[in-house]
Amino acid sequence: MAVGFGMASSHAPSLFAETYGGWQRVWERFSGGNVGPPELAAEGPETIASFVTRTAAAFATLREQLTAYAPDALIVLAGDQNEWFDAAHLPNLMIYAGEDDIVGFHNFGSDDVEPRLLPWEHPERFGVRLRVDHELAEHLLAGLVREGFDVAISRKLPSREDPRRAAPHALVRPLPLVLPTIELPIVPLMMKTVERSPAILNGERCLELGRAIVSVCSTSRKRIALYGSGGLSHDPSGPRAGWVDEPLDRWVLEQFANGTPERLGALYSFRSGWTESGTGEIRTWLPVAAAMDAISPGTQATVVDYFAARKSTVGCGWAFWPDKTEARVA
Amino acid sequence: MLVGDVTQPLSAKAETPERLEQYAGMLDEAFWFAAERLALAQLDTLVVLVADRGQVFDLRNTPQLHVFAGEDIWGDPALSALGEAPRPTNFSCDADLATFISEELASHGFDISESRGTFEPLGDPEHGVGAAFVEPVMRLTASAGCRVVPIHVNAHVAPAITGHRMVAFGRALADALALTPKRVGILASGGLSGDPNGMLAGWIDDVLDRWILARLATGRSHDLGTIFDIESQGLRGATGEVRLWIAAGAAMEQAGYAGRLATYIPLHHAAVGTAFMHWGGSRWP
Repeated sequence: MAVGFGMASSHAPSLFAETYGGWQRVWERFSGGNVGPPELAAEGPETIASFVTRTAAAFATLREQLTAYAPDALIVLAGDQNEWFDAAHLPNLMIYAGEDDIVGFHNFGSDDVEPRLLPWEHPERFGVRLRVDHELAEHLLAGLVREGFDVAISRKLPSREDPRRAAPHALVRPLPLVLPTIELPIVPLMMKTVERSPAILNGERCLELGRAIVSVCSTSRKRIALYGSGGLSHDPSGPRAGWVDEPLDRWVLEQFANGTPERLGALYSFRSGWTESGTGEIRTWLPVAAAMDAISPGTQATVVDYFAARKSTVGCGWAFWPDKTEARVA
Repeated sequence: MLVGDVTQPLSAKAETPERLEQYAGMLDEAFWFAAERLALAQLDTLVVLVADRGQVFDLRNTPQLHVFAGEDIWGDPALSALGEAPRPTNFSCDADLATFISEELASHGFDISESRGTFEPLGDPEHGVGAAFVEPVMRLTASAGCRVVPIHVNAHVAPAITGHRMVAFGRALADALALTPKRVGILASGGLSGDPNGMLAGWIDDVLDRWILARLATGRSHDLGTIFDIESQGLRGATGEVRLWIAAGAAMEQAGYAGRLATYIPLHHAAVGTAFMHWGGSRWP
């Protein structure tokens, strides 16, 4: 069956708060001391309430679509932010193919109370356990290396003493909201995204990765879905905190919606303060778009929603590429 | 210690104490010659291609291509099993060049893993980087006084990077180094054929080794790309480190140099085909 469905979304911490106070607390934590752009002042309680409603609806749509596809496994493209790795060991691409479950913490509602709850201190409420499709992970690992991708190998979970770093938030935060069931196994394909490193995948390479994923998975009998977790533009705690690059986000989404992912190859082909930091997470969307285009050229994504939420510091987006199983078989 | 109780090939019997003494002399001479050439080259930096055996990395993270971009790296090559006293050794690294190389390689499609800041070995936090790095770098740079850029290549954990990719990697490395005003050398440390501590420990594929060396001596590293396209027990163990020679050969050919074989010994007692080759001096006509 191989790959037949793709989706992508933001996973900003604010998206898991349901109150104005929660969003404000996140802003204060990630503003980096910036006053933010003029639009920030317009994000009062009413605007935030609409963001909360739209967020819930967008995640629900992704879950419905993924459930309808009925996958056997979900390959998740995601960044790591000093969770499994730090500067001492920084893979560009890495697949975790171990048999142990991934255990970490979500943050649903943790910012909605004062003082905020620290998820790792309340594992009974915030704990998340994700299953791993070890067999598919090994298959993908071997196939991508064979196809010329220098994917680092991980078969044992990094044991960090700091519980905040138990697992990448790009996995444990959004997945409980989009998985049809928490038992659905995943394959974490970690990408370097936000580290401001010059040694990082450019847009073309991200697109090539997506095409290779389709090629490698074509020999699998499983129904596989892809999920890009991260983005869109943001610079939390950085000099551009709050200054969402809305033109960039909308251009990126336009390419997905138009079925022209090849134009995204120009992303990250040069260095810019606007494309580093959190904006680097758009990389996780590109392989999904390229993969769906490889299955059926010109496949157009459905952009579920987008809003530039300055108080979250993030351009927040959700998109899915429809079930292409029939196109691939044809 | 290296061969354990593996049944040895008949040719191993020829390695009498006298013959081994002779080999030791040949290897000392080869090291001395290489060190002298390195000193004459007046390098600013030596890029060291090496394969990790679970000392720098472990199951948590085994990169295919890794550039260390910290300020210094350390290791202890002492073999405690042989009663050797600890010999912790530090090496000064060229972090700027490492960062530059990483960026250039990544921009040319190599998914480089990197380390910055303090060296933190995952696999063996007590002994640091392996003897395959420490021993030759210590001996070869003693009088050269240059800094190093350690580049680790995955040769031992499946799935490991292909031979074809090592050819492309070597060429891209040379292209990157051509952009820097620094005088840079490349050292590949590892291989050739053998399986120390493995099922074929003591067995040397001298046919393969000689074919590889002949290709490198005639500027045909490209031909080595197919070696790891097949599965064979003869390609496991140290033989996987031929990847380092492919990259070094491709890099030096890209820079216009032919390989010259200094020494080759199918050394059963070392459990590897042991060779010294150097590139440099005169370029291709």
